[in-house]
Amino acid sequence: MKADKSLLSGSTTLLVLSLLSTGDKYGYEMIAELDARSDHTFTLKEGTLYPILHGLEREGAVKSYTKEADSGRTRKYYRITKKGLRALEEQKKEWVDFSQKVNAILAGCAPALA
Amino acid sequence: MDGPFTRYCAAVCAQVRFRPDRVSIQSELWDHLEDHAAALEAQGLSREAAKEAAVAAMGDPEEVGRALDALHSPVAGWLLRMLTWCTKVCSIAALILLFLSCRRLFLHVTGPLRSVEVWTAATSEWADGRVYHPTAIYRGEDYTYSVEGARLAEKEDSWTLYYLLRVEHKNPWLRRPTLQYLIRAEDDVGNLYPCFREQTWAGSSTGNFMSDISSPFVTYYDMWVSPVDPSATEITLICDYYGPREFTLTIPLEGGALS
Repeated sequence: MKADKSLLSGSTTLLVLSLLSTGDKYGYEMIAELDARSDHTFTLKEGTLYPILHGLEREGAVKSYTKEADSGRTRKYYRITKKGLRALEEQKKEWVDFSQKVNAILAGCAPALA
Repeated sequence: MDGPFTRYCAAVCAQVRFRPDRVSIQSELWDHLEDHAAALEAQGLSREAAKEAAVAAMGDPEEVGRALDALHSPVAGWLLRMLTWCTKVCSIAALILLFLSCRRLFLHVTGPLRSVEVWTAATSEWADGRVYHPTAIYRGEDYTYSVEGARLAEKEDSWTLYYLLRVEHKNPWLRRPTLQYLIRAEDDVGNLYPCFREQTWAGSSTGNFMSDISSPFVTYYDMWVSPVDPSATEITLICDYYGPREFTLTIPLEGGALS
């Protein structure tokens, strides 16, 4: 099943930060890993990754640098900063909170009554 | 080269108003497309089909371009550029100042000797007489004045006192005061030698600024007083053109042919 685009948009920063928390990556590497780890569920329009990355860089959540990749070509790599790691923790918490509430409703009982 | 990659990147970059950032955006997108196409080729697609598929996976270039334009605003971009340039200019200026102050140190160590040599060589072309080194120094508020060397020369029964004036100033903006026209002289028997400003015909007390041995912190002047009264035993240089006396320096006429 392909994910609905609107369902994905809010959580893309969370996914990007989460991917970078395991190591520095360049754009295509992130897309490929996202694709593999989500079992081809998250096929976001690849171009939209860059405004997200540039936005995160402006906020100071990630830093970019150019380095030669294993293939011998130079690539623009992104590294998560301390600020980015804090943002990731917050967004993770929000996501868990949100998904628990959705699950509770889907299970047929409001969290207040649980 | 006009291909799907070029078209895609151009369509994105066309939306980005801050041109200097277009290059890095273009190369980042191009790398992405190359990587994706290579992966698809490895799966068995033809080069052309892989390129088209990689571009298709990127989505709408205009949407991406508009989003990037919002993040790469021209105002912030140019401001940052200007700030970077200013920083660079300031650093270069600081380096130059550092270099010049080192040069000042250098002049402190070897300057006076060398400058006296230069001056001696220059005056020897038209003046004879022994060069001597009077101890005349005056410490003013912004400048320290001293006479580094002097020589008395005779030409057609008329005596001229040549001297090398050294003016030290810690502030480079105060370099090259127009002292050569402002120093008048007196001798101990009451003769006055007006400066160039006081007397428009070739002043009795005048000189030239010496650019080749001056630095931003030390200015040298090749000066002379003429004709010197043969009965005088010392000459006092006075600079009071701006009102209160800036300095007075007394040069004894010792060792000269007059004594």
